Amino acid sequence: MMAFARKSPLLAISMVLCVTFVLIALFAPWLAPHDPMVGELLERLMPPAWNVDGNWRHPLGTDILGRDILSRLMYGAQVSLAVCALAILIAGFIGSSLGIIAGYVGGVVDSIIMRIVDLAISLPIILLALLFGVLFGPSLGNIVIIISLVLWSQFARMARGETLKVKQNDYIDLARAAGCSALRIMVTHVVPNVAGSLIVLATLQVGTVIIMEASLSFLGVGVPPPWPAWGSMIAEGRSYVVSAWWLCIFPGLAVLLTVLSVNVLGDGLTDALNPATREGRRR
Amino acid sequence: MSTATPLLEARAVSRHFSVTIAQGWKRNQRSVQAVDAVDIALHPGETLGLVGESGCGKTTLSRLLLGLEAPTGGAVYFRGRDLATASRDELREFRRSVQPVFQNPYSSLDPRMKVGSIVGEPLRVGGASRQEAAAKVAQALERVGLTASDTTRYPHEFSGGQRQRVAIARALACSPQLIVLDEAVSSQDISIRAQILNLLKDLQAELGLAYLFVAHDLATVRYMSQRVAVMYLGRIVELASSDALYDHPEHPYTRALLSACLPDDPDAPVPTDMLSGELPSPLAPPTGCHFHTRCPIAVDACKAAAPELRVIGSSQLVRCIKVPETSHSNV
Amino acid sequence: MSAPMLQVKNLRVGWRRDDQVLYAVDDVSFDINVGETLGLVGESGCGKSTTGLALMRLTPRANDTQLEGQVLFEGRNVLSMRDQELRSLRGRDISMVLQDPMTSLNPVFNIGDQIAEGIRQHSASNGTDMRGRVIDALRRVRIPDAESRARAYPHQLSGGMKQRVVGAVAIASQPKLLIADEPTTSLDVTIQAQYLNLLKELQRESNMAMLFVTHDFGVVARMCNRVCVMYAGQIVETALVRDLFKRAAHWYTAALIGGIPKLGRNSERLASIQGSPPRPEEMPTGCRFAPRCPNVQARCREQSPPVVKIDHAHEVRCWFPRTA
Repeated sequence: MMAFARKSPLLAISMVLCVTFVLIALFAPWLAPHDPMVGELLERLMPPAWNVDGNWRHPLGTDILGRDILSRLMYGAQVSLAVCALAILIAGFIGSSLGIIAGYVGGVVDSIIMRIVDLAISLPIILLALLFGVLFGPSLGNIVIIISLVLWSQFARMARGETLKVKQNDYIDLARAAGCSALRIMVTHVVPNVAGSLIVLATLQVGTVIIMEASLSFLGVGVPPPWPAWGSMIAEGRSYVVSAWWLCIFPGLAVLLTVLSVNVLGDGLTDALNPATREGRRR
Repeated sequence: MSTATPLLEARAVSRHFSVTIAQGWKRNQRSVQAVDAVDIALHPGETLGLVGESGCGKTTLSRLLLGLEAPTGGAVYFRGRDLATASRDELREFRRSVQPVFQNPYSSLDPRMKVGSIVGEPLRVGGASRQEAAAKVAQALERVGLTASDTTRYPHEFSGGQRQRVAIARALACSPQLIVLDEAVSSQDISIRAQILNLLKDLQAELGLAYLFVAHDLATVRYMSQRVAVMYLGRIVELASSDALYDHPEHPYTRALLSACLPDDPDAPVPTDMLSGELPSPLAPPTGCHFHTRCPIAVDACKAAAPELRVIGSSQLVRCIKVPETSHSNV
Repeated sequence: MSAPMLQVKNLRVGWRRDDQVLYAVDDVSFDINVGETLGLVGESGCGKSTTGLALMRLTPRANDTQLEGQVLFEGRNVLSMRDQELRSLRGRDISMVLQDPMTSLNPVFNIGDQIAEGIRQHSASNGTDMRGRVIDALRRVRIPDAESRARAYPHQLSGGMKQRVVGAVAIASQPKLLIADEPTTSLDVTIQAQYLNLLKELQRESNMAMLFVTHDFGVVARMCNRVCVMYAGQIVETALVRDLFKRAAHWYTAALIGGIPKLGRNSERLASIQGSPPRPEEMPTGCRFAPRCPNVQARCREQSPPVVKIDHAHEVRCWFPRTA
């Protein structure tokens, strides 16, 4: 373990950070010092603890309603994690399945699915989000749906590309010669062999999803207040950027660190799974 | 020559592919006749060799015989039944009886599956229970010189030669009658090749298997086969017993092919009649006899019409108008 | 007889893995004389390709690869040459032709330009003069319609043609030694015959020496004067080509040749060697072939055999060489 940390310190640090975020998100109710939704008006706009006016009861300060920023960050992590997990799972499952089918079956089916993918890629997410927000009211569910609608096409494209590569292998022909149906081949042969790249893609999408969620919350069509979401926290602190800088900076840093560590982790996974960059066996 | 129903037979089988050629802005649809009205029959217990250079269609023909591709003309018959109209049970019986082994042992085995599952796949798909399959898998692995404990290992733990043995074990597991070996030893080193060829011969003697041995190395084909077919640009140009073909080749292409082979030893005389020119592209095959552009004995009639396969002597089939029926080389 | 043009003495190519050094090529020595063709034959992993690359110091430059020994070309040691000297050696005095013509040619340049690039490295030439030399090079490798073909792109040529173009690039500057690493493996039988014929003619025209790195004994029989057989990074036998085929002294050579099907009649079974070659990490003590040798004795497992001379130009690395 220590040898691994020494060999690739960046990867080790990002793994630690990712695990920390997940743990914070999962155990926020027990870790957070205060209730994130309720604030004490007497303590509003308190600066972080190391500042002359701050104190350690609110280590990162409070917002305009006196709510503790640290606690809101922790609960915000929960929101981010939930949105990420749900959106990526839904988009990943639907997108990958369609991509694998398009790649394996080919022909007309492939063309149809890929044209739908092209359509999905050209969807204006902001417009859609605003529309959803107006029609159905902002909610966690709506954000997940909107983000999934945009995300699934990435999975479909990659799944299709990887499936085409897998299809060139002789073991696919051997399976056909043995009498396997197309569905059986896709499930037993294609899926296990494309799963690796799709998992890496999912990891790399986490960053994108967090930023999407933060942007939507910032615009007011994301998770509705008073639920803390990092994006809406930044939005609320917009007017106080100079006077109460901690309202924007800390949620911003949270987004930055999470996305960065997830991306580094994703890169590390890509290298680990790519046979060319692994410590190869010499013949 | 057996008059019984052949095990596997192709009658006037053709396969053409549509290819789109881009030339600047234009897109031309062209047709490649990969296999052109081929008749070939395989009998139980014998090895038929299939040789030819790139573009001759031997791989496409073997895929047609395996049912991996449907012919665009003619039909493939298994025990007299047309595969295109066979029932599900008949197709299942066909797949059990005719098994492939391909050239590349690195892409023949699914890297995510254990060897046991790989070897047992045709059995499980064919309806065998887990226990039945496991027993047959163990037996097949032992037959090819591996051990039953290898069922739990993954392909990357094996060398190229061992992987090819796994591929052969998979072909053996459902007790087939015919194995189609498409360049099965071409990518192996000399010593591994010798091991696998010996193994194949032993299996044939022990189990009465028939082989379709597709390869480009003529010496290996002679070693393995009782009959040999030579293909050029989608057509069979000569079909004869192994000894007749190699000792008394009749078709000019067969002769050129044999003389172009590298010698067995350094004292062998260097042939002076080298075949010139390039292999024509399958997209634009020569008219009439495909070989006339490079043939040393071609005449005008060769350009006009494609010759038929005729019987020369006792049982040698040759597709050439210049070879007389009573060739001096046939006793 | 003057000194050999190329003398390889105790060549070793190794790389560092954890705290040990593993050798792909371990103490290889051979000579090549002016105008002769030497074959370097062996199975995959024996180190023959690495040896060929090392002669021009083209082995991978990862920081843990190391070259030891001497490669003396006309008296100068290639392994200790300065970069400038090495660059003028490569492509001019020593040239190389590789197996896969598809990756040897750059797909975005036409073949005329690629040949010109080869010529330009080693001699000044103006426009018209260069064009003439390119056409000349194409004619030397018997490419028909040289003037129009010069403007063709690699994808428009067949495999055999591409390999000839690669040959044209390699001989454009009249090298004294051509290293050919499996140049015909991907070619069809009839095209291979034409290509090997061409190489022989080119050799006759310019008295060029050739090193043929191959696993195909047929190529050796057709093309080579002398042969070195490699196994597990070492040369186990060196002989005149006829002596190798008729009177192989090393048990590996004999088993290998016995395992090749012949175009004439064959016996029922091919000679085969059980087991597989050792990996560099697991080299056995004593003779490297001992675990698989049909004639192994106790001494073979304990001590590495020396190279012994058993006849004129016939050497073998064995304690108990085979007598035919």
